[in-house]
Amino acid sequence: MKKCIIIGLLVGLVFSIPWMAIAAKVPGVTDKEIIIGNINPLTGGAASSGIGAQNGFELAVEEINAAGGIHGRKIKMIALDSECNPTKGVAAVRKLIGEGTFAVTGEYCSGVAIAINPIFEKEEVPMVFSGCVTSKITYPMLKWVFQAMGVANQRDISWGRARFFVEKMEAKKIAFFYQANELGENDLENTREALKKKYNMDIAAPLPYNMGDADFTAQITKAKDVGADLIHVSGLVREGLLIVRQARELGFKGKIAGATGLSTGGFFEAIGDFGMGMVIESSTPKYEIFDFSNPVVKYVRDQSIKRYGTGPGRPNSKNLNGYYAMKVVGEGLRRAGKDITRDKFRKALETMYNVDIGVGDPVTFSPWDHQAVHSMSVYVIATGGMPLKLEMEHGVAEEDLPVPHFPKKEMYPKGITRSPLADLPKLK
Amino acid sequence: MDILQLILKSLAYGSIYALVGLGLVLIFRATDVLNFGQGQLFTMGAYFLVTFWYMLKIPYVLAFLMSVIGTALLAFVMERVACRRLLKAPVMNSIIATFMAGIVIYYSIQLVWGAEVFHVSPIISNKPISVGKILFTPQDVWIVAITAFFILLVYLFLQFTKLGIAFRAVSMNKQASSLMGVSVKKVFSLSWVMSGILAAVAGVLLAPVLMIEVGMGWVSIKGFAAGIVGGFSIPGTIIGGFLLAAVENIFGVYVSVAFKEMVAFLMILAVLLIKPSGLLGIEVKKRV
Repeated sequence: MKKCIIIGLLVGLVFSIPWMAIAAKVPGVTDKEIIIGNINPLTGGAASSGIGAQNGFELAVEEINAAGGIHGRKIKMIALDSECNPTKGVAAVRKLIGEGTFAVTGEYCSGVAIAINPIFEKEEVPMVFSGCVTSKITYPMLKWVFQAMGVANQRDISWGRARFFVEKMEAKKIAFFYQANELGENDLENTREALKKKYNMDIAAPLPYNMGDADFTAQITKAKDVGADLIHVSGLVREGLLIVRQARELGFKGKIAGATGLSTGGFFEAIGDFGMGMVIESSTPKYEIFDFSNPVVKYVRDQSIKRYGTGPGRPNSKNLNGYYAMKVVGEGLRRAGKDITRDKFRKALETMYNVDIGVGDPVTFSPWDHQAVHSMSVYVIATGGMPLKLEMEHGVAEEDLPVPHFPKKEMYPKGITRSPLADLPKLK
Repeated sequence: MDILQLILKSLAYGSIYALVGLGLVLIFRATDVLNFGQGQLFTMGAYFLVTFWYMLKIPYVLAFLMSVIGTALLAFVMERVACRRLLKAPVMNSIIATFMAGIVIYYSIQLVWGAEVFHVSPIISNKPISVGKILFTPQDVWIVAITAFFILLVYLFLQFTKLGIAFRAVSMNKQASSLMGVSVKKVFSLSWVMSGILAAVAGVLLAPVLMIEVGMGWVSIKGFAAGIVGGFSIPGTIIGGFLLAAVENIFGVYVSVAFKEMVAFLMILAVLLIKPSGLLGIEVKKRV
């Protein structure tokens, strides 16, 4: 008798092992909550943008949770600081994954993004980038990595920029300021490739600089010496501000254009009349943080101030980036269903074809393209640093995309689908 | 653009390098200690200006003075806390202590003001004015003029005041000065206060030119280079500062913009290899 009981218990134990494995939790998921990691530069030169983006994420999370969460699960966000430093970014991501987050979001600095990208493929953890423009995170496409910034990536921007410079600004000789790092060189090479292939032109003066530089006399002198009629500035606000100011102080009379890194309130506040007539690429969803006629933009701005206060240059366009990206994540979680796994979430994101999440351009992911949006807009700075939206928008032409964006369009529904997350009750 | 324009454009940054270098040299000459926290004193000058002028809306001249006094006080505290207790220890201990004090100030700035970047508008116009083919801004002129004023003040102080003469005596020979009744400790404190004043002036002058952020202490490297090039003499450091700024720009235009920042280090190497006593330093010969 005793023998039978023991044998029975052993058999029961052996057969329960697969069930225990099945019942094992998906990392970061419980019945009540789902843990999403968030990484952004919260200190250092990019802090204004990083904190703005994090606030945007937090606002969207609050809104989603106030409406009951996703399939009954509230979202819990764990935020870490990358300091815009690749080494620290890698450590932060490893910590987030090690602590069992379901997915990771965020990161504004492209240098950090390039460093952390391979980790997600190796660990099979979904990552939804929200703020960095580098094309290296989506070209070539990685299975677990998505870019939901709401605007084109660096390669697309470079091709769109080349088109804008030549066809709209009629530039003949372009001086190109870029950061002397992988991101900056990538930006330069993409723009050069686009100019060469489309217009048989080259950059007249490539002008590298280091983050932290303060005196750009030498570079500006070179730009004037080659007879540049357009200076383009890529990089972050601090150096961009100094370059534009010093260019005008040194008597440069041509046109000046700025890359997405300059499109924040901090730049506009500081540049004043020196920026008059300057053209800046947008790095936010379609409607800028300054477009208060758009109710969602106004809502994000007002709620950000109410909940998180203001700071130098904050809130800014990155608040919209973060808010947009979190809504994309929320929609992916919703589509993945209640019995969620990381793989289901990833596949759910790939079903988002022309999905309107309530702000910005509709999102399209597919199994061949994890870049949500390929368009962008530009605006020009008017007197006193006020940005005005140009009527015309630009972006990369579809024939210039490196991957077919919608290779099987017939598989997808026609028109735009509105996500339920676009119509959640607004926070008071 | 010709060389003259490049040199003129370099004067403003040269002034800042000269001021920071001078602050380093004053402490070194009196105490034999190289203050690795000088960059943070410069940064504090800028942050004090942000606080008094930008945040509290105190009139500029008063805010300028308060920033200078605040930084001078901080320098005094640094000397008392980091260096005074190490007077009998090897000099290296004091140097390390200044480095550590600088790090404490760096993180304290983040704690108090946060990690974000501030911008203050220039008090003097930075719209360019042309005289013939030469361009300059009133702000450049302002920076050079204020620098010249403070350098003159330092010169007059050292030449014609009792404390200034005491400082010169201590920098020549501490032991002999002490035997002659000079309070060497008082001179040490004085050198730190003067250094703090010069660092603050540099920070306040440069604040509207740069964006103010916690990492702006990089300028201490340029000040150090100016000091080495000048032989750690007062007039030599001033010349070194202007020379460094001009050579950086000329190198950038005619050799390579990518390696412009390397010029400071190249100049240090060149001086150490060719003339270790620097431009106007005095060679010290020891009897063996």
